[in-house]
Amino acid sequence: MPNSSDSPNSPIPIPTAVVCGILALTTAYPLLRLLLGGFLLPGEGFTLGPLMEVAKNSSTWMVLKNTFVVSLAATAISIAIGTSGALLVVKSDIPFKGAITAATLLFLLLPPYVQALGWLQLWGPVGWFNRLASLMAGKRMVVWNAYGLDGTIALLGILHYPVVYLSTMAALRNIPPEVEEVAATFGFKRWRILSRITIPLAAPGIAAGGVLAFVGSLGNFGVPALVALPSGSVVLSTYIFQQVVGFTEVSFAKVTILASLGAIVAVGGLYFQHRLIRKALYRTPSPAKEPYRFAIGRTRILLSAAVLLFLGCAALGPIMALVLTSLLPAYGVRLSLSTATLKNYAFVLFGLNETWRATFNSLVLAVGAAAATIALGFVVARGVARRKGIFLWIDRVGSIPYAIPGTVFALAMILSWVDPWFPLHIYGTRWVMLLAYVARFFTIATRTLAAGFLQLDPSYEEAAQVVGLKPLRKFVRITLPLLRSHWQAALLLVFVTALTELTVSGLLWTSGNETIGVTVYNLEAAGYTTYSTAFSVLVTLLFGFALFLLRRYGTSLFGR
Amino acid sequence: MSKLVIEGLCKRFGNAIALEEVTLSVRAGEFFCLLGPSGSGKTTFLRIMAGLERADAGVIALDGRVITRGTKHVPPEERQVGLVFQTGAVWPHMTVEENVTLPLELQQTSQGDRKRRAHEALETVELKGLEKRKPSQLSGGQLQRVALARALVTNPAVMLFDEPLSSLDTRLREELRAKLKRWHRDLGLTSIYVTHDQAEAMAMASRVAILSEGRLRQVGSPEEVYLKPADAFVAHFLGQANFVNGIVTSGSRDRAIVKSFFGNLTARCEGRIPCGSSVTVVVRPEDVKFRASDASGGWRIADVEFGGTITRYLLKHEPTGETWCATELGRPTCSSGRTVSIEAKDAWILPPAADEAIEERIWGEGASVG
Repeated sequence: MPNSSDSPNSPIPIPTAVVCGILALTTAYPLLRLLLGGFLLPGEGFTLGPLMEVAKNSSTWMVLKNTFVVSLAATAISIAIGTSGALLVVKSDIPFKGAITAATLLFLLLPPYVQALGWLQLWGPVGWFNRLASLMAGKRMVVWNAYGLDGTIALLGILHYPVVYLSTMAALRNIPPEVEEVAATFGFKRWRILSRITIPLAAPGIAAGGVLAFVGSLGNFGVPALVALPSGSVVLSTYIFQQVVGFTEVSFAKVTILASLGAIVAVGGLYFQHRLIRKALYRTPSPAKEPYRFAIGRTRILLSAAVLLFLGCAALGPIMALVLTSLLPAYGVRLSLSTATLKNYAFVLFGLNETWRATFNSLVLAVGAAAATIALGFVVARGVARRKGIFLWIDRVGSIPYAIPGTVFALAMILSWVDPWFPLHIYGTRWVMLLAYVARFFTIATRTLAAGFLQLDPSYEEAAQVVGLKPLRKFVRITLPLLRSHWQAALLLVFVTALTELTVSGLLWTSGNETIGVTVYNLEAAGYTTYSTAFSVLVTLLFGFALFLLRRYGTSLFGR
Repeated sequence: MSKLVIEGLCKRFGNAIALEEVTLSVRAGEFFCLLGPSGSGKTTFLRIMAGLERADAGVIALDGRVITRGTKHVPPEERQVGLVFQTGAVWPHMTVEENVTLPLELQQTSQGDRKRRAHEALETVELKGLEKRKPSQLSGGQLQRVALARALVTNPAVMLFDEPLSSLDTRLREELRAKLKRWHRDLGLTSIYVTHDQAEAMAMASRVAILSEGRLRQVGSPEEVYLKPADAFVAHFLGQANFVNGIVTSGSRDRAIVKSFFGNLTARCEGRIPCGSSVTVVVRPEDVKFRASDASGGWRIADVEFGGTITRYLLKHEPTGETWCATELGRPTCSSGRTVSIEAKDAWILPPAADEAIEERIWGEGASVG
């Protein structure tokens, strides 16, 4: 008699086994190599030598110190901005709530290196802010130079406040209005209700968002590479990049040890975050009601102005600066209607071989990664949503490549694939990048689809089985259409993330296989700022389009 | 002839027993109701019947073909059963017509033929004219009828219903109940109907099986299970019942005199019960007759509840503290506080083999009513 696929008693079905095999190859094996790489050396066996060297080396301590100072300080900024924003939007009667959330999502989605470039064009020593200041003062002056660790901290803080904002918003919406109303009946004033009731109840949500912001800052590559590296300050992600790209060390042992440390901190942090989320969301189950709102009266105008100023300086300003720089005939020239030119765009589009090659590569990789992750995701998402043992483990392991810093995962891929003994010789080809993308974005697809299955009444699929539909037909006629918004959102999310990826491709690319992100970074690193900004503007336009599609199809993902 | 034979069906979820050695057979054309409280295993039984869940042990044969043997089974898509879910599970992304046509796609027939058959099925369930509607434009009762048409269209060997009316309001439920019964009579399809609503089961079924904690308690016609419950659980579950313990003083093959705390009772029984046996007697509230009298019997009316068609009286036996329930048609005739004497017009002795643990639980709860 034939076996059906989803019984706990039957052996693991073939598709699941295939996913396990792929994850073993793209995730488990590289991670194992990463953890062992610093201790198992060819010809020496197990050794603590590299660990000792790392411990004695003052430059590695400096890297660690920079990394944690930058991540923690950026997290503090993210929490401050994200919590205030969420409180204003959920708990007050401030106007333009939709616009605030939309602008916030922009930070989340626009590639960090594009935002970093814009940030530098606005706040750099010859950026538009300092130019304006010089113009007003009548003499050349630099009010603030964004290059360096301080600029990195500020930008990382801004880039990651959206995760705190969204997490806090979810926690605040989860507070039943009665608990605040009852405090009001005791005569508690606004601040007392906020500080004694609202914020303590939302605290796990705020902390969970803070952990996400910390892990995000820890893993970010684009920002420290563009903002801190030129001034000589190195953090973990850029240190790995320098060591790998520069091949300054014959053995990767030392950098591997630091990288594993980063991976462990990130995974530990996310585990902690997971626990916090459960605390924040499952204690007070009364989500249907409108949250209790504080009327803030005339302060509204002041606070709205503050929000607009912040969004102007942090979101709109950098993009404007990016556009303005891209119109300059040469870097440093004064911009006027007569000097403005589109020749940078012309050059990027038609004069630079890499542009189209990189765009083609990125498109191929993005399409491949999106298709592969959705296919893998569909195999496991139902099991993840129904919380079945093996699928939960696949989900956990599969989320690690995305959780750990991208440069660390890229290093793990290199360690695994440079080995000549391994039968698949794909290192240095586009295939290793595709494998890395699939491993890294697997969890985006899986989690998005699992959210869909969670909402899907199982009886729709069961009804299809009972009326006689075979598994494939059931999938095509019932499952796919019913989960349309989810798989489309997953497809777009993976596609746009992969299209503009820099961190992993920055370490894995070889000549001829460059991606869009690598090209923008190389242009900027070589000093062609007018070209890199022009390319970035084009990428931003592409992103605007993707964002439009996401908002159209992915509404269920972002709540509203 | 037995259409469906189930033998020794067992299912566990971890440590929880869902079904324990369930054995029964369903005749062709029968409307068979599986009745039990929530958690009794009835939905699990239906899901195993449909192939959506695997059994741990046992055999199911449909039309002589084994579809489940132990943990091996024919997958749902090859079983030819029709299943109507509690929620209906009408596919929301398709029109009514598409919902009913899709099951026919696998059959080697023309599109015109498929449409014709879908329309026939929709006509049967009285949904003609709504073919192009989307499920979101239909009412709860209409959705359940689409689900029924979708299950009927492939001409299944057996129809399975999983509490299909439980999400509807009372009036609609009764209306659709009558229609289901009529359609069943017209089509003659063998049906298994799962419900927790005893009134529904009694009204529709040709035979009823009562399930509790995964075990089959009794199978029989509605009259049989109501008038001759196999144990205290069944008696209790199929409507209100008063229980009284007593000792058999004399008896014949189908009748016995039982000496109880308030005097002698004549009760029906099955088979001769030896004198001196300790038994439990069930008296339905509608069989309790009382009339005003002096306080010598010890009974007093503790409460009167007027319920429209019937009036319920709570009768308290003051010397022992026992409370009984009695019902009468129409308006209250006696008021609270009156002393009465009572008489049981009909009574049934639970077969002595009845599970004593269950009885104890019922006595322990002090639940002689409800």
